[in-house]
Amino acid sequence: MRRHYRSAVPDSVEAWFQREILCHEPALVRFLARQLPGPADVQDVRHDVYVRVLEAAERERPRAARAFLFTVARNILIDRARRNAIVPMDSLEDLESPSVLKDDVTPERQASNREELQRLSRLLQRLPDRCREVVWMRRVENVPQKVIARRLNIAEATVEKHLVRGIRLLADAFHGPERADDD
Amino acid sequence: MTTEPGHPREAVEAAAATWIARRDAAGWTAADAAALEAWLAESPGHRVAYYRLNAAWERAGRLQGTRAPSRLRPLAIAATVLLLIAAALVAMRTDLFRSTPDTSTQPAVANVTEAAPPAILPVPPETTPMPAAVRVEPGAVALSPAPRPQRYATAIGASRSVALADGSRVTLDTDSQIRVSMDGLSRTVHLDRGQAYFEVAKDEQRPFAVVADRLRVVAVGTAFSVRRVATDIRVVVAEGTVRVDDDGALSAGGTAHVEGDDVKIAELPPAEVERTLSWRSGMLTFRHTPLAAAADEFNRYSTRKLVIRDASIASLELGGVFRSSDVEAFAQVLEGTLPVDAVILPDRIELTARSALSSAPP
Repeated sequence: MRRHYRSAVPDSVEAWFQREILCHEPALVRFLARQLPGPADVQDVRHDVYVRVLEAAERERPRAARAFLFTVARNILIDRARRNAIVPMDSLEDLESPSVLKDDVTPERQASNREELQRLSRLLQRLPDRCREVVWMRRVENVPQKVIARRLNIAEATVEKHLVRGIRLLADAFHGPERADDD
Repeated sequence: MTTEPGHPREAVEAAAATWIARRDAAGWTAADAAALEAWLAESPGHRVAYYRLNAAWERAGRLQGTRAPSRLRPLAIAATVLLLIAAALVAMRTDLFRSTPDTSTQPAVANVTEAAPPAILPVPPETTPMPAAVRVEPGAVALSPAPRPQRYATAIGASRSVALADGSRVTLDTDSQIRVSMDGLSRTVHLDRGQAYFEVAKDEQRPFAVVADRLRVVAVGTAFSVRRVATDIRVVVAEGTVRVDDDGALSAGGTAHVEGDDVKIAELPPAEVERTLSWRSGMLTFRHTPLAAAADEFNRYSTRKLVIRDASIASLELGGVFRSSDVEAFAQVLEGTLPVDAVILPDRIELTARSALSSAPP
């Protein structure tokens, strides 16, 4: 089977972040979900973790991205727990133990691109109807927003609203853990 | 609580998504791009949200060229009618109207059953709203028989521009040959040898595929070149997006190069893209190119071949823009700029290392 690979080009922080950090989001989210009360907290802390990782990486690229990511995650959770001051000490020890890394599947397995296309198609199916139509027309068929508005008989501003929502939902589905109810 | 009180994550993500939506829309100006850069520079939280959303948005582009699930095609019926009309026109215009396709190439019939890659999407072909007249089961005789593939070729040193039935245009380079098959469901060009530049008319119902040996490039509405010289196969995209081997999408500036069993992808700056496409205006552009490679390239355009007699000069690097039809001028420039002597014979031009006696002081 043919392998596709990118030739070596100077690596932007954005490319590094996308390639080395975002690929661990499923594991990170699962880890955070065990420690946090609700999905909004998980997303907030995920964001905070990424911000701290990016700030550090913009100064100096960490050698072991995944380990660094989870170290930052643990530190942020510990800070948070200490701030809230209601978490008993033994839970903090849980956070400090490195075993949390063991049970997570490494994402190094390269999905074939056929598989990836199937996955992308599945993810798009999960979007709400209007969002999905707009995202498909805009991103896959390259239809201009004005024409989408005409075809769907809605205002251009509404098209943008659906698009903005679709972009966010798509990212959550794309980066996050696979859902059990995926078709 | 986020690290940026007053900038909740929700608002930042919504802003990042809005930037992405506007960035890809018409009317995006340099001032807008500057504003985006400024917004990104404002905080790492902005950058995180933008990188994360952009990563998924970019990857979603790989679906370009695939067929939408049936419930996403509100205009499929109207488009199908247009397609039938177009297919009928194509059948009338071709002077080869046979019920059995050319056996030397299978693409016409094969593509009718493959169509766009339906296996990728979880929608069975039966749900596609195609009238029965156009859907062909394997072994059946098509009601609108596929025309036999049209062959176009150029001699050494020649170039040719061909207008295809669908409105696309193909520019053939020297010593090239293509076979074009188009029917109501697909458009396929086989590049047998040489180099060709494709300006593909947009037709979302019929992806445009170029096949070079085992490499398959699918375009929706783009401009790109494919090169097949001996075992060297490469693709350069000038405009739009193509899909290579179902494996990856290349956009403007993207290039794919087949190396054995692998396909190597890279991004070229616009100037570099122009360089690789200068053959279309009859010019060859070299930049840090070894003499052997430059000579090989010139030899594609000339029956009077450049022959390198001394291995020592083969890796000398040269640069410049040369008219592909004027190999003598090229040889003269070589003499003027490199320690090379050129002997012009009736049937070839010999290149040797400049002898000590004739070498001029630098």
